[in-house]
Amino acid sequence: MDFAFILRSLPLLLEGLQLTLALAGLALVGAALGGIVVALARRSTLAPLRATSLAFVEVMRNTPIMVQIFILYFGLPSIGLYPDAFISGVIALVLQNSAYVGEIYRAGIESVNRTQTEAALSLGMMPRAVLLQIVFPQALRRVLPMLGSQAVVIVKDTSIASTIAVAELTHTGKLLLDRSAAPYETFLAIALIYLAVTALTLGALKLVAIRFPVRA
Amino acid sequence: MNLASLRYLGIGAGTTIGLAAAVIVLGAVVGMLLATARLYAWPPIGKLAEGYALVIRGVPLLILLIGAYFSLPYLGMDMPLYAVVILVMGLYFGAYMGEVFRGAIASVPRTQWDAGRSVGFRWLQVFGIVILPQARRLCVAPFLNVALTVVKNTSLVSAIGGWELVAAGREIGERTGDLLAVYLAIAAVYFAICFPLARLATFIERRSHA
Repeated sequence: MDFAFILRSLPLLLEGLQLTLALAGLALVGAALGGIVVALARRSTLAPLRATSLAFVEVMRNTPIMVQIFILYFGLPSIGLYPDAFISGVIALVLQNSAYVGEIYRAGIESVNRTQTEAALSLGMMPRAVLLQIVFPQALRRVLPMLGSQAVVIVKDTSIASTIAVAELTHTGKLLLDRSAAPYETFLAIALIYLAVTALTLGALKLVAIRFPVRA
Repeated sequence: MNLASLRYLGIGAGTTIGLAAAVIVLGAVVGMLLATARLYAWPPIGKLAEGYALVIRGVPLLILLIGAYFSLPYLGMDMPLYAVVILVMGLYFGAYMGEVFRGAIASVPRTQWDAGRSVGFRWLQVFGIVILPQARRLCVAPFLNVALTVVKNTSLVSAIGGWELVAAGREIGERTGDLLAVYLAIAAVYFAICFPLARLATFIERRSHA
């Protein structure tokens, strides 16, 4: 074990970590918002909207994220579009995870008893207010654990952006590997950094779950 | 894309399915060991299994694949690439399958144990004859969902130089120059494998709730 090597490479690894966090942060926000669109479209009264969103969800969930990234980054140039590697990574992560997060939201919304909606409507609340003030708050609290696991998946999947040469943590690791003869030190350090990020993500969501408990 | 390209993709798809099948079998064995360790073993061993699952699920699979493939030779273990891949992915998804199995076994009511013991069964008999068959029905759907994730994640094998569906597609794309068509075709093949698995999981889940 060459720990001095890890310490010497730490500045480089932290640079990679910055890009990993940027990818994960943008993907998390994008998927949280995209998920709302997906969930609402899946529950829409318009049949074509329902069908399109169902098809979107099924395609996103049943194809690997790496292939989706390749379609954007290597495929789009065939029709004259040249997306940046970082942008391709963010778009692919947002698209795939919007499908997953949307289904999580939908499960939450459907788990809220119909009588809640009926009670609010009978009090004279507008349908939009019922959704925003009655249904969403209860639904979100119930699906917090599932959103937490999905957030961890997003953090871990940012590593796949290394396959299109986004200089995030995994890619930094591969560069270090080429320059040194210390593969297991390098990858142990990187694994520990990812572990810290995923643990912090889960910890943050635990705090949110304590602040917003599910009321029986 | 011509017929020869499609045939080549077909061979790639076969490799992907074979790889996934091997990983699923190894993962199921690892998962069963982890689940029984957490439920029945001496507490320190159970804690160890819990810690293993927690750590392994917090690290990206790609890191473990790259790390293992490039570190093992330095540690004096020169294994063929597919062996490394199956081992690493089996240990990785074993952690997920362990959760599935543990949840299913734990949700069989305790009274089933008491009933089994009271008719004179030994511990192993109760576990094998009474508990497992009931747990099996509960875990089929979540197990299929992990299996689906395994199929999708075999694509990472091409990132460390292994040959499977994505690598086959890349070779075709480099020859024909049309990468968009070939990657869309690959996505379609993955969809053709994964969508039926997902539908089957949903179907079984619905039926078990009915």
